[in-house]
Amino acid sequence: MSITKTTAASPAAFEIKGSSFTLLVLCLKSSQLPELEKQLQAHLAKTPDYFNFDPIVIDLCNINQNDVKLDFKLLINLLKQHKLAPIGICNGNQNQVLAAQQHGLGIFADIAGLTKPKEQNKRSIHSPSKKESQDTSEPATPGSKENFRPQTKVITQPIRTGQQIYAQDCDLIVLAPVNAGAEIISDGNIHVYAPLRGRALAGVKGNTSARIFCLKMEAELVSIAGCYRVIEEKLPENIQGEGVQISLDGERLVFEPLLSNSTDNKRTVNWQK
Amino acid sequence: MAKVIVVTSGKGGVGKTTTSANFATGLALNGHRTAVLDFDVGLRNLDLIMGCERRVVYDFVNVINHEATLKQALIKDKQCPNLFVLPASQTRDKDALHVEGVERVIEELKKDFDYIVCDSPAGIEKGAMMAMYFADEALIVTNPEISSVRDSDRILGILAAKSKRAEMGIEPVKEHLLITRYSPKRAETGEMLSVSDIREILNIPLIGVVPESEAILQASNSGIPAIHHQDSDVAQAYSDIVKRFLGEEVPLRFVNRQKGGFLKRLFGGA
Ligand SMILES: Nc1ncnc2c1ncn2[C@@H]1O[C@H](COP(=O)(O)OP(=O)(O)OP(=O)(O)O)[C@@H](O)[C@H]1O
Ligand SMILES: [Mg+2]
Repeated sequence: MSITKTTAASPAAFEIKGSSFTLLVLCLKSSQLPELEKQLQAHLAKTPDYFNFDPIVIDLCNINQNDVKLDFKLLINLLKQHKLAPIGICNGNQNQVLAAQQHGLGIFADIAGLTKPKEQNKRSIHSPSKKESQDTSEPATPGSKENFRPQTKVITQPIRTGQQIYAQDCDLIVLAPVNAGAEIISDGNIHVYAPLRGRALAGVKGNTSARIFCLKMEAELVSIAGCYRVIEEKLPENIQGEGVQISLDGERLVFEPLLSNSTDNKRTVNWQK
Repeated sequence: MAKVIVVTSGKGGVGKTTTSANFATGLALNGHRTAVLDFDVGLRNLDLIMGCERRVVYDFVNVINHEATLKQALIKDKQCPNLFVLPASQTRDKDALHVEGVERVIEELKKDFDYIVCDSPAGIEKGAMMAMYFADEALIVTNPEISSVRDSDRILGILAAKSKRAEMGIEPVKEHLLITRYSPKRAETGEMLSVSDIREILNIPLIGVVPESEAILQASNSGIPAIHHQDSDVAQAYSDIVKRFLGEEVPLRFVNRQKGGFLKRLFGGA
């Protein structure tokens, strides 16, 4: 989940981690920059401090025809004047990708249908976290209809040490214990209607709204959208061994009892046959 | 129809060979023609515990390599006329056991025996895979410690995915939890896992609990499986396990600490 570089003599000077951020996207509908400048100025005239060097991704899906020329230098300066920090592009054509790279911009995976004309241009995209995942498929796009598959993966047998289950592009429901040393992974939510003792990773392609639910929280590790927590010590009393839901709040994993009164309403879950 | 039972654990030294010897003997004592096979190529322990090591001429690998017939290699038990041992070979060749060879031996045994008990080596390598591959049922031998339970869990996962039954998509291998070297006292003090801790983690039906006992050491030194000495607790525990396996309802024993002092035990009382 993280790469740590260590030299023989000194302790690690850096660490590369996978993470996911919510980003602004500027969807350009015209390559005519003077026109863009005029409209931006009009739009932001009353609130000149609307942006505070927020990082922003430039979506070129409307202007990526081969003959369209885009002056990246001008565009970047323009955005900086309006206190925006362009960090990358998406949906550009080959020439645009090259030009963007030359101007120090990153290239985000092409995302279909994220910012269609007429849609509001202030939406979030989720960059897939670079976790050490065995799946090599393209990141799924939250909200993209092409990739939406409504099925759910349901597992009825115990998941045991050394086993791994991956629910690709869908939710995962497990009706039997997930034992220590087992790993369950989902692009969507994870529900475990039994003790969760192993590792659970939800929203692994960057879905920050994914959640993990379990009836008995004893996990070794939980992760949502690449933001993970190794659980080495006992969690608070109302969480450890209890019915719990886990969600992501910014960069923080939030653990909540499934039922708000779960401390005084202790349920005993008996899994013995 | 003959049944193949694998005795397996993942972890080493938990009591697989002891269990294989006693379980197979128990089946034979109940009147069933039984063969017990040593899959632990290179180590050869089963024949020692069964007290037939001096009579080993041919072994499992000789039969697989067509260097001996099954009849020549099977050793008849001294105590039970319907119990036979197929010893492992001393070879260090890890590939000596292969699916085709093992299958041929097991198919041939099935014609002549009611039960075929496979004593698995530790680990999850070739020998262990071969021992479990043709199993209809499995005794998962587990000690009351976390590393043993963890390895049993791993073996259960492999059994559910890699056995012949799993590969063919037919009814899965029937799993039985056998807890051995159990000390009620140490479970009570929390030094070791309790029966219910283990059951909760492994989540498979319990077939019995064998207590930690000196009788096992004496039995393996004398080469007569402990189950023959019915005055010992391990013998009774293994007998109960065999009965449960054969479908009888037998209450669980040896899981609670014996109450009362020395005198009470000496002069009777439950
Ligand atoms: N119930 C018991 N009480 C006391 N000692 C026992 C008991 N069962 C087994 N042992 C001892 O534990 C040791 C290992 O037993 P055994 O050889 O049966 O284990 P194994 O699982 O077959 O080992 P391996 O993995 O090496 O094949 C032996 O010394 C044996 O005497
Ligand atoms: Mg052994």
